[in-house]
Amino acid sequence: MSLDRRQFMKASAVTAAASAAGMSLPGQATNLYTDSADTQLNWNKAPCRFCGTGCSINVATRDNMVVATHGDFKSPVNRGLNCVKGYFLSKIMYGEDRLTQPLLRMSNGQFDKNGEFTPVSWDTAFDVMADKFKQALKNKGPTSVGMFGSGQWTVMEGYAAVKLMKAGFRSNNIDPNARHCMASAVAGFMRTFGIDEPMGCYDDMEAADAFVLWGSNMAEMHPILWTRITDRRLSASHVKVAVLSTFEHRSFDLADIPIVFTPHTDLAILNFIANYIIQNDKVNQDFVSKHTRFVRGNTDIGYGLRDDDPLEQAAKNNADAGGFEDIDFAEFARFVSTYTVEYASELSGVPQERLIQLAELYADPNTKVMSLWTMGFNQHTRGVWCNNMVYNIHLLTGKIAEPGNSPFSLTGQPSACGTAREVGTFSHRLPADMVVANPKHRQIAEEIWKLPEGTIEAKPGFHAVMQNRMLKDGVLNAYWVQCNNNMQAAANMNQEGLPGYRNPKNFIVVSDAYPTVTAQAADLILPAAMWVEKEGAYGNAERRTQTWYQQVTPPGEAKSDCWQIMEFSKRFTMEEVWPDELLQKAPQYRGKTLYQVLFENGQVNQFGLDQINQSLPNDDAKHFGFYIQKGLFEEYATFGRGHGHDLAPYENYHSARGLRWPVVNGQETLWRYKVGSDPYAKSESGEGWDFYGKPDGRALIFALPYEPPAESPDETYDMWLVTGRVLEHWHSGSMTQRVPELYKAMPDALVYMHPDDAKNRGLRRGDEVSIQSRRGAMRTRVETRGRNRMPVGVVFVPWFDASRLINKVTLDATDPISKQTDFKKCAVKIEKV
Amino acid sequence: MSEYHVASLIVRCRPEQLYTATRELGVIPGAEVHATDISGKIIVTAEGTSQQTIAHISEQMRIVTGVVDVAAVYHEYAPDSSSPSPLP
Repeated sequence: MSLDRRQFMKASAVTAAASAAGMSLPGQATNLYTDSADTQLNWNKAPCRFCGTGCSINVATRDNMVVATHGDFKSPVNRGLNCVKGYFLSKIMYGEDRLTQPLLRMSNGQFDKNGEFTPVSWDTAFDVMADKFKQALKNKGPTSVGMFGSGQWTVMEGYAAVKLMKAGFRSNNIDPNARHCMASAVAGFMRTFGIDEPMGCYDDMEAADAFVLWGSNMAEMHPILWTRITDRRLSASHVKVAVLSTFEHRSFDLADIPIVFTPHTDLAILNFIANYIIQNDKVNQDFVSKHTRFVRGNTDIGYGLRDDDPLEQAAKNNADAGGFEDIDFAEFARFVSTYTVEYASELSGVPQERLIQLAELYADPNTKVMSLWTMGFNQHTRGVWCNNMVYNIHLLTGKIAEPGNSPFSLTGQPSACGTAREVGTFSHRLPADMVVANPKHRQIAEEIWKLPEGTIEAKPGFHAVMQNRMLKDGVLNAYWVQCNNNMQAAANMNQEGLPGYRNPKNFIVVSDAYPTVTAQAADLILPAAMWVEKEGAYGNAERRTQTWYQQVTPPGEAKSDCWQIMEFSKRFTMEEVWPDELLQKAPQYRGKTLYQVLFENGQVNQFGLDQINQSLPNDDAKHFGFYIQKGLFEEYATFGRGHGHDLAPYENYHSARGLRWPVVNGQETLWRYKVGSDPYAKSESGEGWDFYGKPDGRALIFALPYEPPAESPDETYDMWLVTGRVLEHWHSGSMTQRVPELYKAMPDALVYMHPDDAKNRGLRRGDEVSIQSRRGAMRTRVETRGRNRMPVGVVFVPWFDASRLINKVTLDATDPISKQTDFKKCAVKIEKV
Repeated sequence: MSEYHVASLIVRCRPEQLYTATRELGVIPGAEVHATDISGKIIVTAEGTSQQTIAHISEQMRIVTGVVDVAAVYHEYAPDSSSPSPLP
């Protein structure tokens, strides 16, 4: 490569940065960058596939390879910026251990659960897999088959999977890894507002006067949004940033009000703020009387452990964890009145004046507040409560659904909203916020899918944690995992996950681009196409749906998840999956395949190949002979149109940088529930709010207490363990870097701890230690410096790395309402090895 | 085969620390400052032989005194079989 070429690449980089920053460059030839003839690069947009922010990225390809990326200037989300994680986009598809053909465990040419992974054809792979699914269906019925999906599935893939499972196999045992990530947020939205997903949007970041991070390290996990907040903070001196966490992390660098609290006591802090607002007469009475309703939630609801766990047997209300009853404002005020600043301070360890500073941000009617949270709230045995309680303080003050006043639930995965939540790939859900337990909702789904009445089962299926338990117990026997690494991600892997996958009664299929820990625990591995190797759509945290075209072809025989689902469905006749009484109601389906009924139904296959982008590949469409992505999207969109979830016509998304639903008459919606900005919000006066997700148009304010966590440190296990991510895991390339063996723990992982805790245990920075809980142990090394500054008594271990299997140690306690695991607290001891 | 990677970043520092931050950024191996703005924005490139190198350089930028944010913008790489000089 010539030096000229390098200088040219560098000039392109500099020019792009200057444009994004709105700066001019001293004496530089700025026209270099736009001259694509010289660069021979072919640029197309795609949403980033890493986090839930939903940045639009311009992707350059040359000779069927992605060679460059830059932030999309036209994107209202990232405005030309990318983040450091985004630098890895160019090469995520080109890891040396990329899977390129199906691999089946075999001995002597036959499938053998204890055999070695052996390359096989797709035909053989699907033959064996279909045989196992048919056996399970025949022997035990639909509840013995299941699927575990992802918030990284495209909208179409998630939709095809739901249809295959819930309509085809008639099993509700499908759940996404978003269960570990967003389930508490979903349940919080449904309980308070009756509709999922935030009412506000990222535009709030330029309008707010204060930002409060409740358990979110945005500086590292959502860097682009953090850049927007940083810009706001540094350009307007009155703006305040409060950061709450159980330890100090990068986001504290910008904090005006830094708050480190004892794990789990966020519940008490939230109630203190409500109490402070009431005591100081800062309740927005007009708003509260017109738009809210007070209720008291059930308490003592357990910890979502197995039924025989002593904690569950002691809990009074675990059978009706989500129940609540009406109360009035006076009763609510009495309920929170015990959460004084003294009590909150004592419980949380936060100085009183800090708590008052924080409460004042919410109480002051002239301060517009944006609250932001991710896993600190959601991965919490009272995660749904946390979500409800932060809405409480926004509702008491009327600070909601208008620019700058915004309780905002951030998302971890690129399509946790778009696919997992909106498509409804949860075990209890159907598209557009509908649920299987509701007969009307089942009827709507059956009509859209052209299914006979009674096809969809009413009983919710196994959720994520339950799936692992049911695999271990041999109840769930044919199981397909797509687009996620749940063996590594789920808690308590030694006692639940791994025994489940290796149970001889079960057949486990994992579709992935790389040999993950999960793939290596499977019986059959299917090679997957990823990101711009296929056409797709994602939905981000602010309700923005974005699409992209396929830009390169996948390596070897790797295929998209959509292709795999649809192709697999060809292996089943309707007689093999539906009972005769159901087929009697739909005799036209006799003798057909599942593929014909689900995907050649006159809807999914209605758009021809003439509609695909002719200048780019679309391998899947060409394989099936119709525009599958558009067909699946349009059929899916019929669920939400006219019901507050309206999506635009599919082709619009290819030109727009995403649109925020509901999209009505071509207009996206920035603030829902506010009359005037949301076409669904109605009032006689033509102004105010309408929480139309609830029948009476009122949002719920919940009286909920502080309750202790499932496990706290004691004399033997004397430290809190918090798990999470650090940016290095993106740096080290978790999508491409693999360990060769499942059981080998790498000694270079780190546990972050306070220097005094290290000293008291005779430990020094870099020492090898064993972290032990009641469930398992992990070896690692001590880190007392670095960006995560731990308080005494709390240690942090990152999980997002195959070499650091901290989930052998964690507890699979869940929120009893959302069934989401609490990865943020359990008790451990740490000993030198 | 070795590769040449180049990336650009917008570094955001507290405006009162622009001068010292710019100077510190300029001495990070592989980093080069191209433009600054009194609001505290600095345009920097990072060059190296892998995206890990780029990430490492950006991490070093992040810990420079006064820097509160590092936003990436552009990344490109190409095979570097005829590298005229060794890169950091």
